[in-house]
Parts: sequence; C-alpha cells; structure tokens
Amino acid sequence: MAEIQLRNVSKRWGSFVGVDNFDLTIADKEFLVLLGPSGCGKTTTMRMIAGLEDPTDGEILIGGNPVNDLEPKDRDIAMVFQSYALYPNMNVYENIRFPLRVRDGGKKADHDAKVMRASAMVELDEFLHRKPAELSGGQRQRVALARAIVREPNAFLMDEPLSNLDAKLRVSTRAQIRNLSHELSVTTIYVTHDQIEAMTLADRVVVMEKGVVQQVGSPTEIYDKPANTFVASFIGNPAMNLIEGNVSNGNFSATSTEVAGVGGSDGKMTLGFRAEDASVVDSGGQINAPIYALELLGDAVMISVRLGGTLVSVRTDKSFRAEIGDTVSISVPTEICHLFDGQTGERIGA
Amino acid sequence: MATKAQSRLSPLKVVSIIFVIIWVLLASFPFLWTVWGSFKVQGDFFSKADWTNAIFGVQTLEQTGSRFTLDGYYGAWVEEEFWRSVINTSIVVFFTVTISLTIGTLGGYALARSGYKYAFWLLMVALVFRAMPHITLVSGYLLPFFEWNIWGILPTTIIVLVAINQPFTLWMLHSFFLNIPKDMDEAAMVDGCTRFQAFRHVIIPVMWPGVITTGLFSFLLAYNDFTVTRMLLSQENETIIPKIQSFLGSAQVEGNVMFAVAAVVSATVPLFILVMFFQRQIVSGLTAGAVKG
Repeated sequence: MAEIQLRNVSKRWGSFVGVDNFDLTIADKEFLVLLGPSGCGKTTTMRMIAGLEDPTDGEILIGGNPVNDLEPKDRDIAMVFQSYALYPNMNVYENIRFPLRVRDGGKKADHDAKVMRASAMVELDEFLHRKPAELSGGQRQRVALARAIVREPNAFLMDEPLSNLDAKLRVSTRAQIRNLSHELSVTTIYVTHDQIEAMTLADRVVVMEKGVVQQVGSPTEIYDKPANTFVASFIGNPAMNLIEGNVSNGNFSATSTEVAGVGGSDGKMTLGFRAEDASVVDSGGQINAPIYALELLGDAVMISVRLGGTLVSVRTDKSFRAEIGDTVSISVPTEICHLFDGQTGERIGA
Repeated sequence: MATKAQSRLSPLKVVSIIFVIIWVLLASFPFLWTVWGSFKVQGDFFSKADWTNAIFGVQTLEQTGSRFTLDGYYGAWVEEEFWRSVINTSIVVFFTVTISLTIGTLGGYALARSGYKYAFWLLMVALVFRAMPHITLVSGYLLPFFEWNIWGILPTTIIVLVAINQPFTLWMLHSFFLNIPKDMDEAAMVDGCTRFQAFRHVIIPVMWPGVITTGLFSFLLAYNDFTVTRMLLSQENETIIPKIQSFLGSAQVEGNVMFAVAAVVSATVPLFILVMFFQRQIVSGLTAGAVKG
C-alpha cells in the first residue's frame, strides 16, 4: 500500500536522454499505465522505480520514503517481466515461493498457504510440479503473476506482460490482471505500447514519447482531449485523422476540405477528428474527395479518402457500398473537431 | 511409410556407413594397439624380428610363461612409483580447475553483465594471452622462481597453469553467461536477492552445463600439460606427463619403454571415465541450448 512519487526524474546515457524530467505522483491503489512507442522511456521509468536503473537526476519516493539509494530487494515491489524471467531449474511451486524463501529463509509452513493462495488466484494449482519449460506461454505468464502477488508487495510493476501472448489469450489475461489489481488493491504501474491495454486497464494513462511525458490523464480524457498531435495519432484505432491546413477568419481549409467556424488564430493549423465521429452524407459535407479504399469490418465499413499526402478514414454504416474512385461527401461538424497548432502540434482550446 | 523409406539402404548410405566404420577403426587403432601392447614385453611390442610378435606375444610367453603380462604396470606403478605422479597430478588438476572456475565464473559473470566498454578490452587482452605459447610464461618466470626459491613445488605450477588457463575460462564462461537473459538476475533481485544471491541461487543452477564443460577443458589443460610441469617441477614432484617422458629416457639414460606404455594406458583411463560421466552436461554445454527457460 503505497503512494509512489517521481520528482523530476531524468535518465541520461551520455548525451542520449532516456527519460526527461518525469514528475508525477501515483496515488495509492492507482492503476497507472505508461504508454508510448518503443524507445520512449516508459520501461526505463519503470526500471528506475524498481531500482534496476539509477536515475541521473531527481528523486523517487515510495510510501513517502526516498528509495534512490535502496537496492531493488529493499523497495518492497514486485515486477512482472516481458520475458516472464521464470527460474528454469525450479518447478512452478518453487518459482512462486522464491520471493518468500530468499527473504525469510526456509520457514516452509507459512509459505505453503501463501503459495497456494497465489496459485489459486491465477488458476495454476494443477501445474505446481511442472518446470517452466513444460508450460505454455499463458501458463508461464500466470506463474510470473503469481510470483509477483505471493508476497503482497507495496506495488506491482508490469513490463509489457501481455506482449508475448496470442491475441485471444491477451484479452482474457488482460481481464484477469484488471481483476487481480482490483482484488488486491495494490498500486500498479503497467508499461505497454498497446493503446487498447492502456484504455481498458488504466485509472490513469501517461503517454510518453522520446523520454518526455506528452499527457497524463484518464483514458477518456486522453481519448477525448488529446494534448497534442502525437497523442492524437497514438490513441484510438484507427488513430485520429489529422489534416494539415490553414485557418483564416476562424475557417479551416485544406485540400478538398473546408470547415467553417473552427476558431483559433489565423495561420497554419492541424485539424483532427475521429473516424467514428464523422459521417458520410449525400452532399454538402465539409470534405469531398474520391474514395481511396473501402474496408469491410463486419460491424461497420471504413472508408479512406486521400487528401494531399494524408489518408483520412471515416467509419460508416455496415450496409454502405461504393466503388473505389466514387466521390463521397463527408460531414465534419465543428463539434467533433480538434484543432492543433501547425508548428508545435499543441492543442488549441479546450 | 517413413520406416520403409528409412529401412531401404541406398548405395550412398552403404558407402557412408562403411566409410565411418573404417574411419573409427583407423582413428582408434593406435590406442587399441597401445592397450594390447601394454600387456606384452618390450621384445614383442618393439619386435625387430617380426611385427606380429606384438599381437601373439611370442617373447612374452617365453619370458613370463603367459601371453599376457602385467610387468609393465608393475614396473611403472610399483618400481618407479608412478602413483606419486598420479597424486601430484591430482593435486595440480584439482586446484587448477577449482581456482580457474571460481575466478572464471565470477569474472565471466561480471564481464557479461557489465555495461562498460572496459569489459570488451579486458576480454581482448585475455584473448591475446590465450593465444600465447605456454612456454612464454614459463621462460619469463623461471628466474624469479629460482630466486624466490619457489621453483620445483606444486603451488607454483598451479599458479602458472591457472594463469595460462584463466583467459580461456573467462571467455568461455562469459559467453555462457551472455546466453542467460539479464531479466533472470533482475527478477531475482526484485524478488529479494542481493546481486550475489541472484548469482548463486538463480544463475549458477542454470549455468551448470557451462561450468562443467569449462571445467572439463581446464581439467584437460592441467592434466595434459607438459611444458609447464616439465620446466617447473623437481623430480619428486613430477606429474604424470613428465614422468612418462622420463620413462622413455633420453640419449644418456636408458629408459624402460614398456613402463611408459603401461603408464600411458593408465593415464588415459580417467579421461574416458570423465567424459562418459559428464557427457550429457558436456553436450548441452557445447550446444548451450539448455539455458533457455
């Protein structure tokens, strides 16, 4: 049970900046997701919290105590690795018991109950005597989870725990992780590059790029009000449509696009909207262009049009049919529009 | 269906099988010849009259009353006290292997996990020392060893053999450690281990095949060494290889060739047992596939 504070934490290797000035307080029992493309510094941030990496600058506090000079073992955290890092020479039972055993010697009676409880939580009871090599990927993943929860630590750190699982298993394990974290109500920091995992699991999401925090907020905030074009293009499937153009007198114009009344000052601007917010109309839409591609998704049809160099997608009714090359009219009312500065990419307006 | 195809012997298969059989016979012939000959007298094994005497033991029958004799073994082990050399070799081999493996595992682990550039240069220097002929170390040390009065004793030899062997063990163990994912140490450290506990409880158990393979090669180096032991050991401290050489004699001293033959066979037996005993670890150590969880 602990609040984790990062005070202006930075990590540099020579002139390379891994994490730049990370400043955040993670509340007790919060589920925080660090999200970003690979190499954005999210794993480094987590490793600094774990004590596997020393911050170049800044201070890390767990439960109010500075931990910068503490060894990983003294920070009372548990970590799930992307590769699971199970001990191949021990069976499942011994793997789960290991954190208890190294901390307080061989007092087995007390351990047994804890190991059994942890293994029951992740449904591993029947595999306790197998070696990791004899388990499937999903089972190994659950052993790693059990090993983390057995000790009831201050915080869980999870480094892309689902990325080695197949798609179906990922969905069920994701639900299991959400449930575990709720059951145990322990502060959890979860690193992923998958925005769906972030949206589904997080109380709060931190979007990072190139070592810099881009936005911190609840999944809804991040989805509905991306702070800049990077977040807008990273969150959502498909990502937000971004059209570069110009604003004059509050009206946005770009190739085949005219949106009146978007506001903002005159000059270069980027207009964003989500595929599911826009709709295809018979005529009089703000974007009029020939269809570039048409994809049937089952529950909907995705239409793309090409505006200059950028592709713009619109989600429409599943019964919609048209030929590639047919001109469509797309309605983009101002309420669904997000406006970003053309130079800095920062969001304009609320 | 598959068995049918396998059971059919194609001409190529027959030729390759015959080739392998001939090859095995050729390769093992010198050894088998020596084993057979070690139970004969010198007049047979080195017969000037007829080489088949070595097979049928004509002289042996004449001299000892039987076609096989243990005279060579008796002469070497009892008369010439070959067992002393065996004890000396055991001491040299035991300490050389133990010291090289201890330093090698700790150093190899440190180098494998170090993020600094000097680790690379240390390994490069080790490689250079590994490439040197053994005699270069000995010739440089000989004078100081005389002056400090530590020439001729076993510890000196052990130190020099460790020095020769260490670069190799460091390299070999280093590459084994590189095969073990870093996540494993880190998981152990988060789970509550110190760096050393992680090494002892998590890494070393996974490393056994590598340690055993490296240990075996160190064993062979110390066991088979001639250059260092010949130059550095006094006669009463001789190990088996220089002892066998002394059985063969020199231009001045007449040796007893049959003692040498018997001693050679005696010296080979432990090697067979060792390789047989550790063959599983050696194979998995050499392929290094066993470390992946």
